[in-house]
Amino acid sequence: MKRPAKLSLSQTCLLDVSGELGAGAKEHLQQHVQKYPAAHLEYELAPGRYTLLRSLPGKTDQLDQFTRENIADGIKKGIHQVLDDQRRRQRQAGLARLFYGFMAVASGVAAALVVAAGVYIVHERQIAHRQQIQDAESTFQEMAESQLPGEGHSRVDALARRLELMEHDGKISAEGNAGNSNMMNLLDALDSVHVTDSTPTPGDSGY
Amino acid sequence: MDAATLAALVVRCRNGDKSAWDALVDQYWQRLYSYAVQSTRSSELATDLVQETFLRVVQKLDRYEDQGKFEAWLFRILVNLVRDNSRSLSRHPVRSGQVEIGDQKVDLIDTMPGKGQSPDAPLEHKEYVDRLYAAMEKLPELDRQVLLLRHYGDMPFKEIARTLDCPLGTVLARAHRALGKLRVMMEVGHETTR
Repeated sequence: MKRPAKLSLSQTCLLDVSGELGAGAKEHLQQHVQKYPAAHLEYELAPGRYTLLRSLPGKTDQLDQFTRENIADGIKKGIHQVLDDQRRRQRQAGLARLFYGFMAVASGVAAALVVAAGVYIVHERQIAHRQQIQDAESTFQEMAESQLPGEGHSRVDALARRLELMEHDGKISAEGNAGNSNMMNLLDALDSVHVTDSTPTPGDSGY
Repeated sequence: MDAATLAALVVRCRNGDKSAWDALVDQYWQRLYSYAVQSTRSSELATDLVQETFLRVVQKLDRYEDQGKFEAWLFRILVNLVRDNSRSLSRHPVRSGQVEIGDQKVDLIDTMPGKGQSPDAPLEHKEYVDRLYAAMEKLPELDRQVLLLRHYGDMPFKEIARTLDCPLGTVLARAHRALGKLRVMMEVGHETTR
């Protein structure tokens, strides 16, 4: 709460004659003035001083009606013009904001498209590169496999193992029917061996 | 105009309502003009300063925080403008009790109504007012400002204190001192003219 101003007697009297003293303060002043003769003298002098101010010529009494209206209209016109200018500026600023906003969004979208296109191209290149590598690998693998022993070799191995087994069991002999039969089996087995392209060329070691 | 009505008017002004601005001008221009014309002694300059005061209010109203001090704020703008123009005033001295209207210097008292006075009364009164103006011119600037704001600005002392941004006691002390000096000068002047 704001503290009330502490005023001297003359200041309080001045407030009283100018009609600005509150009811409580006015009553307090009256009591003080009645109690002290010096205060009463000051209280009596105050209106006389203040009358000097009141005797100054009035405010706009000097102006005729036309001049008054002229001044007031001039002030109002000036204000209206400033208000109109302010509105125009605000409208222009709003449009400019809208335009810049649109431009920002458009450039953002364009930038996003460029980035997306860049990413897509890089991705596609990576896929193509990977595909090339895979193709090269499979080609190399095919070439490498073509240099290795094929199915024919496997069958020869199997036949060798079978002969080894028959020899172990003592089945390879020309004695009796059983020997013929075993020989026939051996011949059948030899017939079943299909010699493919992988058959070693002359000069190769092996078979 | 009570505080609530004024606050509502200020809100409408802030929203750009032209009719509210017209009402605000109608409410205050005469008091502002009276103070300005007494301070500057020029009708044209006073009109310009009052117009400039309102234009500044238009520009600054968004930043104004309503605490029931609109009147003090309005007058403070004008007081500062008058102070800023004081240099140009010193270049065009006008005798106290006169005001410049266009190219002419006119006595303020000439246009005053003298109702209920004897035929000699207007002349006596004119002399009296001339002496009063002359005495006021001799007062220190700040003391004189308080009296002009009280009489022509029609402001209570409390509002004057807010306008000049000083304590109420200081304003009342200045007014008391200024009125005392005026009384002495008027008595001395009255005796010398006899």
